[in-house]
Amino acid sequence: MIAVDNVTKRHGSIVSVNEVSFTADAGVVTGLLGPNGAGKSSIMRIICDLDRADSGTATVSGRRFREHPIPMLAVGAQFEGAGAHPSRTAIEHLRWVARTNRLPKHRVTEVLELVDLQPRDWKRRVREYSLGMQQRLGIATAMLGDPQTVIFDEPANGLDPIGIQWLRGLLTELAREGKTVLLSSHLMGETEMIADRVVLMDRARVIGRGAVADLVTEHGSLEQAFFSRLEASRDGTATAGGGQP
Amino acid sequence: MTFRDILAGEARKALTLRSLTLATLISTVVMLAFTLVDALAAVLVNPARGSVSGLPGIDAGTYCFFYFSFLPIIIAVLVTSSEYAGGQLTVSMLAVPRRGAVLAAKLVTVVVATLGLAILQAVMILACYQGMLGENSVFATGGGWQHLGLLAQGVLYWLMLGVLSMSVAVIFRQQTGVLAVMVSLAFLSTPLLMISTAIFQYLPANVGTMMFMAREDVSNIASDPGALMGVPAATAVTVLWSVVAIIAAAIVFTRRDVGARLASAE
Repeated sequence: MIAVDNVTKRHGSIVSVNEVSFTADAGVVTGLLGPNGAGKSSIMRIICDLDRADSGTATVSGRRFREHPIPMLAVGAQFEGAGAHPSRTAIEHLRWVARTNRLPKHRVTEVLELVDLQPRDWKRRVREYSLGMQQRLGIATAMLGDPQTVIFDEPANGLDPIGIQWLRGLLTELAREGKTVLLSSHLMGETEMIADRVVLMDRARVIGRGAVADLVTEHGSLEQAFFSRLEASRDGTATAGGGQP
Repeated sequence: MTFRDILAGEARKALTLRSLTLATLISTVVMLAFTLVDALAAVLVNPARGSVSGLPGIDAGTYCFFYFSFLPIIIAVLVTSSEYAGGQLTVSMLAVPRRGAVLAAKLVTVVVATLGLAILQAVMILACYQGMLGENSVFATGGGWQHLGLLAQGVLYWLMLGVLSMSVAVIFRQQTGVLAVMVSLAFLSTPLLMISTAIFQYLPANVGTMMFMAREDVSNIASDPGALMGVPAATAVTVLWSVVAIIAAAIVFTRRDVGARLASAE
């Protein structure tokens, strides 16, 4: 389970995350939904100890990310594409990550097969990869330790319709296996199809949250639910939404 | 996860970094070619070239450590700044969230790479110059240990230059800019000695060069030769530069947000 409690993050005079709290439970896909600049990536980076929060706490399975003995076994995360040096091949990239975390070599081929990268591409340099292939490699890296919690930042970016369908299946399957799945997106329709629960964000704040099914029932679609909360938030009438998650 | 695991991961990164492999290969070829040709010329033109303290050839070839001082800079900057290409640093920090350990492993990688290259250069100097000097070799005339001492100082200079370059690359996260600044610093510092020896001798490249270059070579370009510090002081100042730089890099690296630039852009 991911627990974010009253996290605030400032970059100089800019507040990128403002008193954000939410939880993401095991066995469900939780979506962080909001426009660019809403603070989705920032909060994910804080959860993964890539950035420091000015206040508040973010834990995964009750511990801060860096307190896990081998973090990649507990949390798999993907940010900004492959996260691989452009001159390396997918195999080379995954092997150094695996070696650092004492993961067996066969996990490298397993995750490459999991993300459906073709064997002929495994030894191609990452700079020759399409954006979609880079996303797949990034997801493969996150899955290397077979973690209980996965965090994906805009994973659908660059994926073609087949890739998006594949991603949908992967995330649903991971949740079905009992893993905690947290993803960020600005694509309302896609999130409605993938996520079980959503946290709606705008301008660094949580403006709403709830089960996707409930929000859709109430507003007709997730998009309408989002804009309804957005309007209320910008009018200053929003409550951050109660209940789940 | 032990430090050995982190180190093994860093080693694997370095070994699969093509620009590093290429730079090392080219460096080896260029060093060997220059050292061979220069040693040949030195022996044919003036067998006692570079003599100090009346011993022929005691500092023969040590200036190669100055001429090729851009090589440890390139190696160190490539190893370090490769983290900032393709967002690799994010994966590095996810794989090992202990930033101090990552920096220490990176430091060991840079030290091993620059030390290897420096020892290679020292061996080339030793073999080419002293081999060709024959009966004028420092080993035949009794200056062997002094010559080896100068070579060791040259090796130490490259090592410190590598650590300094790595530190600057960690702080500024920019490959081309850091390379340009560090290589310029290595070569453009020397003329500043003509302006003020007392001040500019403290620049890392100048003070580092004084560790192994013949005293008269440095004195020739100094505005005030009498103000030049001795070899022990030069060594101490060079080491101090590197220690201060790596401490500064450690402070910045362990405190800085990995996604700081992205977040501010967002």
